Parts: sequence; structure tokens; C-alpha cells
Amino acid sequence: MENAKIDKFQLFVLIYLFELGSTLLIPLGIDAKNDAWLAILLGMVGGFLLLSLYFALYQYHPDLQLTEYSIKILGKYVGWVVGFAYSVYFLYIAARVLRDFGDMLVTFAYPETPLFIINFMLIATIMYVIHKGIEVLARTGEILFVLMCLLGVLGFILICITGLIDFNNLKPVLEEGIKPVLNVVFTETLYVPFGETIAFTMIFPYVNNHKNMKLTGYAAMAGSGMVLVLTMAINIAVLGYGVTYRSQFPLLTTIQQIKIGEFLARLDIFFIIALMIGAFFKISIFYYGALFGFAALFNVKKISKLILPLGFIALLCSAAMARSAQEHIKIGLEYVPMFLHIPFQIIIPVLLMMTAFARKKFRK
Amino acid sequence: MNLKLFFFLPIVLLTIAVVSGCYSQRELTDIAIVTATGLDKSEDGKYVQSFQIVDPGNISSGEQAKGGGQGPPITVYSAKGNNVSEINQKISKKVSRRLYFSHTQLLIISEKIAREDGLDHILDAFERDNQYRSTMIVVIAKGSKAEDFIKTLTPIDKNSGRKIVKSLEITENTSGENIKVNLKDVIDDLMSRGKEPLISGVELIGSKEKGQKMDTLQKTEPESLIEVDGMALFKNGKLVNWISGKTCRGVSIILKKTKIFNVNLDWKGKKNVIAYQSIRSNTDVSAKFQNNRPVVAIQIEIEGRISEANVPIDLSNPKVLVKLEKKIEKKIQKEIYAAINKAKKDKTDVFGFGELLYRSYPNKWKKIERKWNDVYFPEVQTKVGVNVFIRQTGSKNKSHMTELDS
Repeated sequence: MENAKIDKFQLFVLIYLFELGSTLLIPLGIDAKNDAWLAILLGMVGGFLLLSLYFALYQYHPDLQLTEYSIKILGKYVGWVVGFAYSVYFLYIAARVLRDFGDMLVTFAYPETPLFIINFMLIATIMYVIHKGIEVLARTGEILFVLMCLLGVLGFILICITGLIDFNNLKPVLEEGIKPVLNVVFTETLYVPFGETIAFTMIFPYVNNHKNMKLTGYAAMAGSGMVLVLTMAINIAVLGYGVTYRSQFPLLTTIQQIKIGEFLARLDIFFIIALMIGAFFKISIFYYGALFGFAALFNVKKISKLILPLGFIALLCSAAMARSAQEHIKIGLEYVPMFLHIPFQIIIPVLLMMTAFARKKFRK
Repeated sequence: MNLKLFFFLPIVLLTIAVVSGCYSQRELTDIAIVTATGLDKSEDGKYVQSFQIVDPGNISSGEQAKGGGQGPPITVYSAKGNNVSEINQKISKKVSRRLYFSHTQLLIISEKIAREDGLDHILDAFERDNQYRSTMIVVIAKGSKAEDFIKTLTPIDKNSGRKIVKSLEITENTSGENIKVNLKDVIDDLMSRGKEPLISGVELIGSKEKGQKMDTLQKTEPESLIEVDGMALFKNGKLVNWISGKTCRGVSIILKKTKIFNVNLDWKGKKNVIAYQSIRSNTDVSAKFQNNRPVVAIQIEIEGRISEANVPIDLSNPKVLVKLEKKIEKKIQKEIYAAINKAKKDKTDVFGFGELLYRSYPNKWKKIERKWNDVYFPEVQTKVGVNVFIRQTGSKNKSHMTELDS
């Protein structure tokens, strides 16, 4: 752990931007058809449960990060393995988001630039900010949070003024009952982005004022969750289910529909800025978790020694993890939730919780 | 500290070098801006795509006209190929620059393609490419080749692509006899079982050869004229029929596309002597099942004013106005029914009644979805209610003939 402190608002901002991350841009939960927004909403409700679980775990060891207290709870060997697994998980997800980011830019903005170059530029920036420490990341977040809000509000107003929204597109609600929606919730929206707050177990110890910290976390999740719900609802209302479903980036297609008079159109840059900010924070947080996880497990005192190697591992992974953008997305939808998100976001935290609880009881 | 510097200095330097970003830069002099593109079918079954390219040196107008060159403001290239991407490859042999599609406003599809192949096989390239915009307007070339429209020179608005888009926009707003449909709308309608696409047509009047020469711009009346006219009805992605004039207007009113339009009225045996102009209108369409049969109710509210009265009539009398309102209501109702019957006859639901049913009755809709256009839509029972208000009578009340008459 580095010697740093962040305040509650900074935590709020980090969670908020982390949640929006790359999920704002993809057709999240679109398998629920017109009810994708509902799937995200229900995912958020589940997300509150998971977040409260992470908070509860944290309260057993308020000064330690996940990879540290897993050793405290499970013992030297098992705990170390669990901590190691988490570090690898964080690094892998960081690489996945990095790949998402690169694929998006290659698809719609830089068709001739190699993925590797784009990914390199982002990870280099991230390595730099992580080198500067969590406080700098948090302060960067404060600035970019304002920008992100401005973009969001402005974009929303412009979409309304252009008169694009047709709420009839959201009907029929629950065409095939609640079952397909729940199916999407438990295979997709619960874990991405809401369950991913597990990465914040590496950040919580830095918060300087533990009072009301939980409330801050819930507020950030509710705020960002509502933005995601609203965005998806607007996407469907503007584009209809069919176009939304076939779009790689529905939000981009929605923004491209904006046209006010003869002069205000082609606001694709809104999308690119949102993408940059979101991906930057999401990858940073995961990367930070991986970095300090490994540092604690291998007793590395100088963090900067680890920054470069881990960054390059993430970069190489991001380029090598899938043959095509479609394969990458397929893996992300079919295997990652099942074999990574469920164990790391739900099963292991629950086991840790039970063990910690039992230990406390047993000692008394 | 030195170690830190050792690691980070290269990264910082490399980032500066790479981020400053001229990766795949293109100079303005290396790209050719395509403003409109047309698709035709050649006799051997291949596609011919033509590109209208702006010649920036010759497009300046008005005060800067002295600086502009003497050549035509647009240049047209075309190539033949099996699909859109292949044509893009082939065109580079003819054009000295790389084509740039982000400013393409118009896609013209020839009637032949629309009738024989349908739209399904050609639109994907335009939607998938990240340069083309999904807000690009789509029209059908009525009767002639799409290429002819691309090549025609037009006065005032120098390139015909822009001219067609503007004409459509203005006709949609002021008479409703054409509607502006973009690529996204077309694909949306193609995908839906409860709504079929409806695309405006363009027609070439006059000599097409003369219209492609600069001479045409030297005359006060151009040799050839592009007119937006009529709408094409589609079914299963293929063009089945054209509608025009008042029928188009009926369709536009149902689709809520138009607000302003004129209605002519007869008065005391004289035909078309009073003109009514609407200022705003609203249409409310609802669909439901009655005794397991689909019923559609259309309610139209129109506000407007009298714009012309060529008979002695006392427009200051509210009772006369109410009488006129009733007449207008009947006339519009008739137009709406005519539009619906036309579509019913062609068995294609361009109004989206099916989509309305799907939204309210998803389960029942599933059972009739496949047979909707052929069996159920022609049998749909429709109720049309029109409410017309004459709010003003212009800057005069009685007609100048009134005094003479009495």
C-alpha cells in the first residue's frame, strides 16, 4: 500500500467514472431486447448487494487491501494463492478493457492504425498516472468528472431538441415476461459493470474519512447506474431495438443522429471523449489493483519497479487475447462471467466473509 | 530517482512522438469529397455506382464568383462491380484522389434495382462503412438511371445532391407530398414486419444530355430539371408501386411528417375557389383488436387559416367558418381513406399499423406477424376522425367581391 489519502468525493468520482467506463458505449444487456434498460436497472439492484458485501469484508480489516486481508483471513498459503488469483484477475480484466478500447477506436475512428499502437498509448498514459499515485488519479477524476457530466447533459439536451426520442420504441415492455430479463441480469449486467466494483477493495483503505463511506459508494453506484439505464433507454428510444442490437456502439449511432439546423451535427467527438475518459479510469483502477496486489504478495517495496512489466503484460495480453473483435466480445459474454466474474465477484468474497465471521466468533 | 528517470523518460518521449498523431493523416488535397452517390444496375447484372465529387475551385458563388473557375462545380466518376466495396477499389484507377464519404448526403437508387433486386442486398455496405452516415438521405430514381441525376447540373444550389435533399426537406414541410427518409429509417423499416419502407422519388424533366453541360447554367431556365416527385411503396424490400400527389399527402399526414399543406374548397357551385392553409397539425394513431380483428383509429387535429378566397364570401361570420371547417374535414378524411386504400391494394403496410399492434399486443401479434401484409392489413378496419379549426382568415376578412355582390 502506498501512503496516500483520498476523500469521499474523490471515491465517489472514481466509482462513478469506473462504472460508466466502457459499459456506457457497448450494447449492454441488449439480449433482453427492448428491456435492456430494465436488465441494467435490476443488475444495479444486485450490484448494491455485492457492494455491501465488499464493504462488509472491508470492515473486518479497514486498513488493508483485499490481497492483504485474504492472507489474514485464510492464512499464509491459501490466502496468498487467493490474493495472487485476484491480482491476475485484475490484470486480465484491465487487459480486456484495454482491448475493448482499442477495438472501438479501430472500428470507427482509426481503421488503419494498428490496435497495438492505440493500446500502447493508453496504457503508457495509465502507467504514468499510476506511477504518480492514487491521489493524482483521484484528482484527475475530479476534473474529468465535470467534463463527463457536461458532455452527458449537453448530449441529452441536443438529443431532446433534435426530437429523436420516440418512447414507443420501448414498447412492449416485458414482451416475453421477466425471465429473459433476469437471464441477462445473471449472466451479464450484474457483473459488468456493477460486480466489478470488487476492484475498489484495493482502494477503500485510502479513504480518509470512513464515516458515511458506504453511503458514498451506494450513491456513486446509483448515480452511474441510472446514467447507464437512461443511456440504454435513450438508445432504444432513438434507434429502435433492431438498430441498437446490430450496432457495435449504439451510443455512437445515437449521437450521429443529432442534427440541429444545418450546423450542429456529427458530434462523434462526444463519444470519443466519453470513451477515452471511461476506459482510462476503468483500466487504471484494475491495473492499480493488480499492481498493488502483486507488490504486497511478493513484498516489492518500490512500486515503480513493477509498473513497467505489468503494463507491458497487460498490453501484450490485450493484443494477443483474441483473434478478432468479435471473438473478444464472444469470450467476454460467454466465458468470462461464468469462469471469472462469478467466482471472483461472488463466490470467493462470500467464502472470505464466512471465514472472517467464523474466526471472529471462534475467538470470542 | 535515476532508475525512475531511466524507465519513464523513454515512455514520455515515445508518447509525445506517437500521440501527436499523424498516423494516417490525409491532406485536403488528397481526398475527393463525395456529396452524392447513385447505384444502377448494368445489363450484365453488375452494379454501377457513380460518385458526385465537388470541385472546390468551381463551387464558389456570389461575391467570390470571380475567383471561381469556369468548369462545372461537380465531377462525376462511375465504376462497375459486383458490390459496393469492389467499385470503391476500381474507382481509384479513375480518380486522382481518395474518395471521402463523410459528407455524402444522398444515396440515389435506380428504380430497376429497387424493383428487381430490392434494397436488402445493397444497403449493408453503406451502413457498415464508418465514413457513410446513417443520416444520409435515400431516394429512388424514377424512370431513369441514378447516374443521370448525379450528373445533372442545377442552378442556385450548385450540386444536385444538395438540391434534392433541400427540395425534399422543403416539400415535406410545406405540402407533405414527399418525405425525407434517411438510411437508418429505411433499414429500420426493412427489418420490421409491421412497417414497410416508403421512399421519395426523383424525376428528371427535360433533356438529360443538355443538363449535364455547363451551358445549362447560362440560361435562365435550365435545360433539364430535377424534381422530387411521388413516393415508392415497398414490400419485402422491393418496390411495388408509386403513389403521387394527394395520396402522398394523406400518407404524410398519417405518418405525422407534414404540418403545413393547402386544401382547396368549392363554394356555391364554383370549384376550387377557396384555399385553406394549415399551420399545425397533429395525428394520433392507435391500433387495437376488436373481436380478434385489428382496428385502427386515426385522429387528426388541424389548425390553420384561409389563404385565398376568390368568391364573394363573408369570412367575418363565424358560422361560415364552421361550415368551411366541416367541408375541409370531409375532404381530408377522404384523402386519408384514399391513401390507406391505396396501400391496402398493394398489400403493404407503410403506415406501421402492424408495429402499433405489436407494441400493445405482442403475443397476439406473433400469431399474425407472418401474414400481416398479405392477409390482415388489407382487411384492417380504419376509423378516421378529423378536427379542423380555422383560426385566422389572413389580413382581410370579407372578400373584395362581397360588397359588389350584395
